[in-house]
Amino acid sequence: MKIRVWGMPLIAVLALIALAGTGVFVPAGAAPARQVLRLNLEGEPPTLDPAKIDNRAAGTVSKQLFEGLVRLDKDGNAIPGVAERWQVSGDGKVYTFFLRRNARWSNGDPVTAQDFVYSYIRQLGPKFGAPLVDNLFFLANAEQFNEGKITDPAQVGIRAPDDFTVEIRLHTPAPFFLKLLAFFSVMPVSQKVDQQNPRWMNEAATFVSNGPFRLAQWVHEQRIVLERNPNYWGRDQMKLDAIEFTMVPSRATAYQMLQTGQLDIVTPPPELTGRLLAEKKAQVFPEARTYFIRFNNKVAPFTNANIRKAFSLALNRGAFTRVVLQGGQIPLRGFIPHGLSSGTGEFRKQAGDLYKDNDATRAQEHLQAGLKELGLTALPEITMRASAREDLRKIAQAVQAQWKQALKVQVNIEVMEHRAYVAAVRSKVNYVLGPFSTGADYDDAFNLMGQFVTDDFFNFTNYTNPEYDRLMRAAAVETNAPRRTQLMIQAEKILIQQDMAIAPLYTNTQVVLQNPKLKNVYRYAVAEDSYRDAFFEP
Amino acid sequence: MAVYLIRRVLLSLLTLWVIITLTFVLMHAIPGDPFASEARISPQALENLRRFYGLDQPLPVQYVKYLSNLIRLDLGRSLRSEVRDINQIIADGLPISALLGAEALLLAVLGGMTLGVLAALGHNRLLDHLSIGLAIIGISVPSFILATLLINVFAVQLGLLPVSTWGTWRHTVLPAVALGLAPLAYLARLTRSSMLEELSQDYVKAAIARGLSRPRVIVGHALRNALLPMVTVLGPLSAGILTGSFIIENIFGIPGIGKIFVLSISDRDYPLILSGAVVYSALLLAANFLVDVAYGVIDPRIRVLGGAR
Repeated sequence: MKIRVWGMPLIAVLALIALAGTGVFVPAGAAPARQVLRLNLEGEPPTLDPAKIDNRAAGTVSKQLFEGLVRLDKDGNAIPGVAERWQVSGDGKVYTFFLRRNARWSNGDPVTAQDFVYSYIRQLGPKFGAPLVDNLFFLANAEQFNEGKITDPAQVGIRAPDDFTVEIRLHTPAPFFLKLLAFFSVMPVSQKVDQQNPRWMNEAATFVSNGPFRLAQWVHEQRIVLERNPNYWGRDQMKLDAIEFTMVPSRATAYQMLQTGQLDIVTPPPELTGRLLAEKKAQVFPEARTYFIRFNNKVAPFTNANIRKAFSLALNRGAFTRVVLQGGQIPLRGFIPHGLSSGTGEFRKQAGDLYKDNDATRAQEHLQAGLKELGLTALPEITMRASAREDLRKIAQAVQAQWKQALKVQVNIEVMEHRAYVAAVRSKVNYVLGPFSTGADYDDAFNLMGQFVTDDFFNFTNYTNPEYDRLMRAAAVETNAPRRTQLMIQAEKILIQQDMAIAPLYTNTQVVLQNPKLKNVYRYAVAEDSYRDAFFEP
Repeated sequence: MAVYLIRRVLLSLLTLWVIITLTFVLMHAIPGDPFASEARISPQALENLRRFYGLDQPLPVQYVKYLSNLIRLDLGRSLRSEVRDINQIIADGLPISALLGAEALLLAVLGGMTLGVLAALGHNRLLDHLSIGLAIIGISVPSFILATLLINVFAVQLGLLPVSTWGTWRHTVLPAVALGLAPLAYLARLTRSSMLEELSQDYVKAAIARGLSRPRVIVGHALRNALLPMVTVLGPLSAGILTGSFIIENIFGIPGIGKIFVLSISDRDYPLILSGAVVYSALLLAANFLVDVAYGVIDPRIRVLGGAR
């Protein structure tokens, strides 16, 4: 009897000892002679096929593996990638790229013009399911091909006159098009490899890429290792030998790993960013993403521009970003975020400030005027929906307090699970107002302004102004860059200064803690980080 | 016995089917879909994605398709991964969660039983207060605080163990402790109270009066009977602990399936939500079955197997 009762734990203890014995003891602190950058991906990428990726984390990995026709220099300008030079036609619609002869896939095959044609047509296929396929809709007939209205791929605006020339035809000129070609979603894949093995992207052993790095190891949910691509044309300019991505979802844990020397770059947890920035240990980089309060322009009282202005001017964005968010976010006095281009310069600098922050006096005046126009003496009860996601919930609580203080208005908050909240906003009817964010896919203000055109799919705000629509239509086809900039500046004035369709809050930032010996990591407001030129100082 | 077994298995399958059907209905009843995000994914691309994942078909069709695949043990494709199907995701993640869970369970059972018995024997004395104090701390301190504390002390300050991720046995120590402490505390309290109850029974007094040694009475008689309630909770407890913990896997960056199943709900990853329900229910049903068998072994008065006609 005794044996039976005590026997079980004994066996278990033996099992534990046996388990311990199988473990490989890794000595700590063995200094690698190679230059290895250790980064944290907060989750497993769904795929590393550039055409199938829909999020920035996976895009960042893919970006190191592939190279497009162009790439970006440290200031975000388009410079030669696989194409060593290019020509643009006078009407801005035809781009001719001349590929370098020494561009190679990681298996040694040359990168050809046909690879680009194949990759773009593959992504545009209606059955392929590419989430960011609309980045290719600037090509002539691309959207029609994706919708299945055209079935002949030869009609799409990309062709290969010879092995090393790619010709792209656009349906309208797009001044940002070159920079767009450096975006991860339009990277090429090898036609030969994809046709021989359509599942090449699933394992490191079969993965073929043409960028600075090649995929050496992929242990799902654990680790991705990239090694310098020995066939990359620019390999001699590179200093990094490898990049190791671990997958730790918790930012607090990743921060501890940085402290113990297990990682070289992390995003610190939000509760630490304020202190780390004050101590100058962390750095801030703007991200071309606007956070704002979305008013449903079709639901009272936000049908009234004066009420919308009252709610926007009453906000103290300076105090809110400094005290509540503490991540170095930049208060916005317009819709387009800081760091985003107009095609002729930085849009925000050119367009200037469209209102004064924390203007309680004007806010009160607008509130009274608005109430009068609506024939009301006081506002009805207002319920703001908000996402349970931390950033959006914090915003909701902060603006609620500021409205109460500045306007003496009580707004109730209804917190919803994130996707349910997004679904409510996307329905265009199931919300009155709520915090939201919108980010640019490519470096041009036009990218963000389309969502306020009357019949745009993403116009969840239900904003409508014929003059705004007219200006946006004009900007879409304007080939003169300074005139195009002016059209967009006018449109933003109407959207914000005249109508205050939404209440802009701030330009988002990326807060980064980095090993001080690591140099030359290029970060962009729009595109993914580039580690091609990075290195460690001895 | 064979009849009993067959009846049990059939009943389990029926339960599983009810669970799958309920999960299917409920998950489609919550608002939001897998592609509803702040990102401006074009309506055309959304339509393509829905078609790619078969979400454009009517719900009854999706339901029948899922069930017929499930019968062939094919759990389908997750929206989370383009490169692995759900069978592969579970094959990769479940052993990791289960290994960690087994370590934690072992710690909980051994530690909980020892503490509980010690507390009962030293009823209302220092040992009792100490072990129950420890148990209360174990229950009240949330695992994420405990985990962070453990990382800070043992990995960052003392540098004895790695902060996180997965690889060697050293990586499993901190998460297993963080995961096992709460069930340990729970089991300690349970053992203590049932042990106290048994110790006050007449048969214990009689055994001691007959001159049997105290350790023999405690271990051979009282503990054996006191184990019964513990075995009852061990079933659901092991099913829960072996399928992984979202919080622990998240904090320690462990590639288990606990994290994946929880995230599948907020991601509206429909096939993965269903698979999570299937795996968890199957384990739970199996664990409960084992518990019923274990009853008969521990306490001959409960003759589940032999008693069934």
